[in-house]
Amino acid sequence: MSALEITQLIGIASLLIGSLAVIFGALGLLRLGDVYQRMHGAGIVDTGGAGLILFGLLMLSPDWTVTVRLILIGFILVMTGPTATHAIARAVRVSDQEPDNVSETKTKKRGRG
Amino acid sequence: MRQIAISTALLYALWLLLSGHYNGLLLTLGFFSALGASLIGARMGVLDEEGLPMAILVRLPKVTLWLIWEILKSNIGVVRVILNPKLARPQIVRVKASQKAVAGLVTHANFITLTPGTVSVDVDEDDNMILVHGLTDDFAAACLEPDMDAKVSSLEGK
Repeated sequence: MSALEITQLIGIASLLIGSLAVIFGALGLLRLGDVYQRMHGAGIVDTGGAGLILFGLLMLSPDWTVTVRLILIGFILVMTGPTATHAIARAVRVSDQEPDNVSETKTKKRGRG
Repeated sequence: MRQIAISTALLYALWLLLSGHYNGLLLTLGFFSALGASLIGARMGVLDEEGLPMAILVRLPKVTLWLIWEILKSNIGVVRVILNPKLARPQIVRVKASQKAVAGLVTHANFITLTPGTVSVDVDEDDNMILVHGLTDDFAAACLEPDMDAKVSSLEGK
């Protein structure tokens, strides 16, 4: 088996696993309890899903200009994804939604805004 | 001056990678647009340690592999909870961050959010505290360990 075929196989495999991760993330969005818990489901889509799909596309990319663009997309996703998740989490917290079933005592909340 | 040079070099490199046109006129025009953007950025005062955190950017590849490994591990953990939502024991913890600059603190909070199972809910830059929501107590406890804090602090150097 040539090296080209092996990279293609790795690419296809990580595309499949990545798609699976996205499905699990969507399932998590539906099944988990409150807003905070559901965000963890979205986290899987952000990291495992997007990461593995991008990695798979990297393995299958036909030339280096495509590779550069894919790496840039990955970098931008890594920068913006957590920021957006944090924005949602903070918005939920500022709007006085307390998380369900939290076992630890609440800490003091900062002012709105 | 140094910031403008770095920013111009980065923007020009990005332009070279993305354009795909390599004749003299376009190369020159690309350089001047990179320089112009950097000059405007400097005039706006955004090319400081926060807008262009070079110390963090150059050391980022060092921790990337470790972070990817952590993300893969906790992905599996979260999938396990999703398949059996009864395992979810959400917890909120306060994580002490030892980073000195705001850019480092933000990187720490972003790393926590990036790792599935934990989301940074609130960042307090006065006390250097990050409020973290963990999906189970294991995920929350992993955040309290000094591992990630040390890795992010090593990004800041010194």
